[in-house]
Amino acid sequence: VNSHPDAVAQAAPSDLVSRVLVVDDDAAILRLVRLALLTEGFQVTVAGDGAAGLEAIQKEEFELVILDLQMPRMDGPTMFRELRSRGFAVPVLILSAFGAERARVELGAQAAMAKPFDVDDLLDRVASLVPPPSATTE
Amino acid sequence: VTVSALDHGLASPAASKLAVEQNLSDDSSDVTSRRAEEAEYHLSAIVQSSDDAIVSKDLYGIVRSWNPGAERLFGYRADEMIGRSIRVIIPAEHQSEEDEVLRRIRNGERIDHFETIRRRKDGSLVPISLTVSPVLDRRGRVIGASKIARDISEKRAAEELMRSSLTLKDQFLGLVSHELRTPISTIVGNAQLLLRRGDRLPTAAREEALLDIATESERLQRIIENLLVLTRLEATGEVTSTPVDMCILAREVIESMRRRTPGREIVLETMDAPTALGDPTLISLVIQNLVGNAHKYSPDETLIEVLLTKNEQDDPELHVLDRGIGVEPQDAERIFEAFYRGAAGIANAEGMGLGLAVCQRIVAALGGSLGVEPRAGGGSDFRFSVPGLREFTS
Repeated sequence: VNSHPDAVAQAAPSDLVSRVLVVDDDAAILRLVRLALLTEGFQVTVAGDGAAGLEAIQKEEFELVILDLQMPRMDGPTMFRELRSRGFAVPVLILSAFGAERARVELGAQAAMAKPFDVDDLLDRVASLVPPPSATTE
Repeated sequence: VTVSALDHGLASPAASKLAVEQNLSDDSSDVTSRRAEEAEYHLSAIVQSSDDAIVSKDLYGIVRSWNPGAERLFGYRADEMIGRSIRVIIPAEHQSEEDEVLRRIRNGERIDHFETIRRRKDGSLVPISLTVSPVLDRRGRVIGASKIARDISEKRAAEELMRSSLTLKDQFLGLVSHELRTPISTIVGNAQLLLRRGDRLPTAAREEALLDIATESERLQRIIENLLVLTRLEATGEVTSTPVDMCILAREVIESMRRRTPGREIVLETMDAPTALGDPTLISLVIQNLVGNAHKYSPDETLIEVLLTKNEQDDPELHVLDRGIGVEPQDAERIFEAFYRGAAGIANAEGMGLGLAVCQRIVAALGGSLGVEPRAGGGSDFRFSVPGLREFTS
């Protein structure tokens, strides 16, 4: 997977703004996670289901994907497997009301967090996976 | 004493009495003989009238007696079973049980309330609870076994029902907790965001967060309202009845819907609808659920029409018409069941399948009717009627 050009690009330290893709079918959750990430200086793209998420990732590079599990059209696990089979090694944080940790283990995702979540816990977890841009510039 | 009545394979108290007389004919005292005779007769009558199957067999498993209870339970008459092996009624996969039972009986042991399966004459299987005791002769030697079998089909059915209702309850709790957690995530998260990081957010973002808190709180409130109504109607089925102007209720529902989803076009049309008789809160909840569903399951740019009219019985009838995904014929009945959601519904929107079940119960409690029909040109036509207030409908 590491041989994929995207993986190389993502692994390379850059002075670009860190981009996070948030995939969730609940528009209110998308707005919340987006606002929270914005306070740490991330650039955020949102997608309402797995199919839209895959589409976004083919257009843009992301340093992290925050992924819900239950979604219409294409669910989280399907999107995750599709992502890996296409060679994208981007770290994935599973964010779900049910079975987030189990899905993380089964899929081999990098992190998991249950809903409802504490906003600061979520941001700490995100920071452990991808350093926030505000931290690197300080 | 019990032994001789059972052990002679007798099917009626009269025959048993005869056997008792034969057995005891060498007794010296006439009085003792008569008392023993009466006791035997009494015991035999108990066996005969018992609802449980009471059977005796020898140490080789050959049936020696077979009471009417056994005839009823297993379908074999006494004359068909006496002299045959008890294994006739044991299904192949349970045959080893009989070896174990006979082994323990030979050792003088008793088997209490052993639950197993037996086969009736017609081939059907029956779950039974079995008690097997050794039968001793006058010198205390084991000469056979008496079995008392009780049909536990009803108990099993009750246990099955209990299990399935527990599964339903688990599903219910799972759905409720999922459905409640989602708005709670938004409310808690946005509140924390505003409290701890509000200063880093632009005004527009802060307002967005506040709006989400308000909207999701209302969503929680609606879910809880539905759950409470559902629980209350399941428990009592009682509703109040007052004259209700459904036009006013429909207008209120549409107004509140427009506030929540600006941009969504909803029109109300009324055609001489009579005054309804019912509980305004409940009728309003039905309209809310139907309009809410129409919004949820149809594209945002399509029109939702609410039509208030009267049916053939001159009762007020309200239609909610959408241009949405429609209802598959195989789902048309089941969508009114609690927690049932059609495949298209699951693929298109969040929800727990509670709204229509609540509508169904409310409308039934009010004495009205609720249904759905496909709409010409696509979409659904959900309609419900409630009894009209006769004196006022001239």
